[in-house]
Amino acid sequence: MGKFEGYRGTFRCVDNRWLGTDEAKELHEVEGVELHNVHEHDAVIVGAGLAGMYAALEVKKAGFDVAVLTKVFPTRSHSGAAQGGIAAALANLEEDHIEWHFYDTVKGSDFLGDQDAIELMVREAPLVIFEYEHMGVPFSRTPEGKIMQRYFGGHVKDFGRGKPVLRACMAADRTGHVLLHTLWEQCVKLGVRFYSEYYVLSLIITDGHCQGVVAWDLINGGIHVFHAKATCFATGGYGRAYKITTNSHANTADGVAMVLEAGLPLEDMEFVQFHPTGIAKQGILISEAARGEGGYLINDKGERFMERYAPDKMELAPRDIISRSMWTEFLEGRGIGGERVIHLDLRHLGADKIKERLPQIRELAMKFAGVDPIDEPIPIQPTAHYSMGGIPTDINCRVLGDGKEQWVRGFWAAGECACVSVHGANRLGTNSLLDASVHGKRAGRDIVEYLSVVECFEPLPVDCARKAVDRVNWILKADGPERPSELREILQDNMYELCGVFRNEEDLTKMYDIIKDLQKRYQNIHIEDKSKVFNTHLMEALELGHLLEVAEVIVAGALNRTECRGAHWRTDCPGRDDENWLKHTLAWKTEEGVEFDYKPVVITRFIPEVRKY
Amino acid sequence: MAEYIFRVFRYDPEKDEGTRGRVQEYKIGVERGWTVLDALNYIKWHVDGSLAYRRACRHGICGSCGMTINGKNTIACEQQVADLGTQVVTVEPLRGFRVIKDLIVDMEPFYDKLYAIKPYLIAYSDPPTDKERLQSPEDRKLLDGKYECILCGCCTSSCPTYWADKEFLGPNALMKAARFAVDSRDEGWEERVNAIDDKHGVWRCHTIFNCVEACPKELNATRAIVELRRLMLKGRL
Amino acid sequence: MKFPRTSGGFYAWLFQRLTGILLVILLIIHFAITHNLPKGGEVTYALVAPRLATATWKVFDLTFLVCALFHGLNGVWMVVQDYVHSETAQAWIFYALCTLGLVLLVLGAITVIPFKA
Ligand SMILES: Cc1cc2nc3c(=O)[nH]c(=O)nc-3n(C[C@H](O)[C@H](O)[C@H](O)COP(=O)(O)OP(=O)(O)OC[C@H]3O[C@@H](n4cnc5c(N)ncnc54)[C@H](O)[C@@H]3O)c2cc1C
Ligand code: HEM
Ligand code: SF4
Ligand code: SF4
Ligand code: FES
Repeated sequence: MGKFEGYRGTFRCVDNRWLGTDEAKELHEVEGVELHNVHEHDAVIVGAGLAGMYAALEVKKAGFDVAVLTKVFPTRSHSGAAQGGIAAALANLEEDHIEWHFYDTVKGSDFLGDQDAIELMVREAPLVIFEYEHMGVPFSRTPEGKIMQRYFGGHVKDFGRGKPVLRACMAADRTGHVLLHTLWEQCVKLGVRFYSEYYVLSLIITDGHCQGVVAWDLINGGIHVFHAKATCFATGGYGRAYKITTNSHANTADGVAMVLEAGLPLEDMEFVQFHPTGIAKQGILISEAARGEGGYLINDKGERFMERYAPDKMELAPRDIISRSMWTEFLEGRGIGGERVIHLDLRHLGADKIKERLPQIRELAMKFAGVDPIDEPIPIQPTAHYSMGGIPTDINCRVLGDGKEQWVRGFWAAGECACVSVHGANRLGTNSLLDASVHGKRAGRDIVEYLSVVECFEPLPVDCARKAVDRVNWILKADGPERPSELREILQDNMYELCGVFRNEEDLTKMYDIIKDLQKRYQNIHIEDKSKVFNTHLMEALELGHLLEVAEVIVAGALNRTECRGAHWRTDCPGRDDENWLKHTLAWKTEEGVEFDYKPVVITRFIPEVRKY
Repeated sequence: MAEYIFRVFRYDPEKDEGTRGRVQEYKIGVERGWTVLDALNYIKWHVDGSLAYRRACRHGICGSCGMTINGKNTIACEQQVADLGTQVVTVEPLRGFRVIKDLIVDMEPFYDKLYAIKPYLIAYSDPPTDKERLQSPEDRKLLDGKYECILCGCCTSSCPTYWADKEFLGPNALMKAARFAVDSRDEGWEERVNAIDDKHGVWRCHTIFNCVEACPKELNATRAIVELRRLMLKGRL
Repeated sequence: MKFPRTSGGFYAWLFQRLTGILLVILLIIHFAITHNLPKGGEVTYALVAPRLATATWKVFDLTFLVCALFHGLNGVWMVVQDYVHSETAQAWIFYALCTLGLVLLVLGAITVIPFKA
């Protein structure tokens, strides 16, 4: 408790909320926003994925007034798309230990993960899973009725030396879907206040203190201000910077871009994970479960080519290794039909196993690739999947204004948009649902502690919404020649080619120039929908602005980091360089471009070694 | 690439207020493998940026893109254009709900029905600490076909009883109720039953099966409703 | 005026099914005997009248009547509930249907019960 003591009573308290009193007016007066559009909540959570809703539940359970803002209805958040599972060393089916999970995560991160944070996460993992079960998640069950677990890439026994281990807790292949829906159900039960289809535009941060957010009400139009003692970002990933991605149309880097705009740094943005098995052309994910259950990867010559790259783990090697192996096959002309396509073959599993264990994967293959995996292999290609980097936070999810230790008071971040960092340079499959859940919960708990000592709302800066109002008005009025969708396509196409699985200085420099050019052209856009009600064109234009800002940081970071580590693979700088690069990147946007600083990796237990599978 | 004509329902509340909306035609080339959502995206990104519709995951898991395509409710992102079998494709918002704009409808009444049946696990007995509750694979199997719902609204929007009675809970909420009713861990039947056993509840369904036909996830709400009735019958007799 | 509810529609639903099943059985018997289906002979007053005068047949016809009336009117009532949402209107219709049912029942009963060959 002591850590928040200094904040008590510094500011005047107003108990009668904003309902028309003079005092409240003084507290909530915002230029350009009508008073009834200024809302007051103890805590405001942005994002209703696993991270956001877990945080909201914790805060609500403690009796505080919490609001969740989300641009899509909560159950439409992208956490629901996760298929494979959520990692926890429950040892329900065979021997497993938290320490093994700890080691695997550290090794998976290519030793860039902070080990204090990783240890906390893997220790809390079983508790979170049990809590999920108690909430009502319909996990698949073992014959004794315990939670079912399956294999997943990179999770093995005996500190990396043993065979794959059954660690991914699962509900058929709808794990994310059931977790997301169950969390939402619990939020409904406790009466969490949702502002659904509110698009958050900017943070209110003054002098290192966060007081809430400004948002656009998509359905009715209009700017709203959310005044809060505690604000938490859980806005998910930004795969939409790439053309081929598993991510939802809504994963457009909004949260991270707002943090950049507020003058705060981002951490390790150059690390973007590519999943090897996206449906060709669409990018839609075929879960690793397909390989976990025993699927083969086959090249044009009919070889199980993983023999050459990961002879022990074969198809269960971590994703980055498989993606690169595939890309190498492409470059050497062994892609199916000479194209950037590989076959994922499930036929030997037999119809029964496919139907029982992988029903959703079969459905996806039939609906989006037009093949039935019982009869035919599925054409696949690497697809942008997960963003390891994000908003730098400490182990309690507090956002760090200098990226190192200085907390932006009243501001937390959790889930994929945050970088604690537990995934380092590469995330292990099933660890991100875990990350979102554990850190959502941790953020919630920390917010509760904070709220129980900070009783007051502090007056809002009257001009806190100005930038957001100006930007929306600018886009609504803009009548330049450029179409936002065209700019976005140029960005996405090039990011996939030039800043994807393999990178080099030449490509990255080219990409950087492309982004700079696009940012200029962005100033000359126009939108065709000028209305207030559900203006999706306005939203797409705002999202593009965010993507352009964040893509710049990704590319600059990739240029800056002259080594290969995890998901970041520079063909012109072979090998991992622990001497110079065993450190996190912190990146700020300034007038001149992207500026960097670094912070050391927290190493408590496992000394970096060569990452080999 | 094949030519298709998309006849898309348009309604802009700021311009079309008081009208029943209009239909706009777009002639576009459709590539092999495109879904209706791909086609709408193409229209929005290359032809007419003002077209409004909801979408997110684009692979049939988020439930955002429920709409009526050639008269049939489904999610646009899973409907292959080629499978429709017509060169002219009509796209309309889900019926039974208020249109907010173009293909976007007001889903609030739909969610309200869910809230009414207490859509969450109710368990009074304390779960074991630091352990999961046990549930046999057989008991878990009872949830299959009920828990997979993505809340797309296709079912309730196709239900004639719902068209006539906007307070009818509808197939979706009733199936959710059944999902908890058959969960071996749930103890909330007593709390939930009043909402289901209501004049707008389970007895209003006429077993018309529209909802079953509409569900893109191939869930059978009608069967769930029959199961609920059987449970209630057992409770009464 | 409000319709006094005892349940959300459980009994209406249950008896609709029960009377439905009964109607199937009764109809088969009715057709088999009245229309003499197996033999397909001509139906004449002389043939029918004595049967109609027996007590068993009177009970059968009354059951048939009650079931059919209940089923038909309750069916209408179910449809009304879908389409008429005002409580007051519903109550009026409900009592009107009840009255209609009673009148028809009495009419039927005074035809069936006193019948002599
Ligand atoms: C196809 C797929 C499969 C996956 N499978 C697995 C798996 O098997 N195991 C695993 O561990 N992980 C998996 N992952 C990763 C995992 O699903 C995500 O990392 C995790 O769910 C992220 O959760 P989140 O809560 O941080 O964000 P999300 O669930 O993405 O939620 C983001 C939220 O932020 C809101 N938001 C964003 N911007 C704004 C804004 N401007 N205003 C208002 N709201 C906003 C959105 O509405 C949404 O509610 C998978 C990911 C994908 C894409
Ligand atoms: C063969 C014998 C019959 C059987 C098995 C039967 C069965 C049923 C059933 C199960 C229902 C309920 C349907 C629902 O859920 O809505 C029903 C409704 C109804 N029945 Fe019958 N029925 C029979 C004969 C009749 C007859 C002879 C009449 C005419 C008087 C009739 C009139 C109605 C009406 C008006 C409804 C309400 C319609 C509706 O709810 O949609 N039925 N019947
Ligand atoms: S079966 Fe019942 S719930 Fe489904 S459409 Fe018909 S009336 Fe509606
Ligand atoms: S039951 Fe089917 S149609 Fe209805 S909301 Fe759920 S997924 Fe959609
Ligand atoms: S976009 Fe998610 S279901 Fe269609």
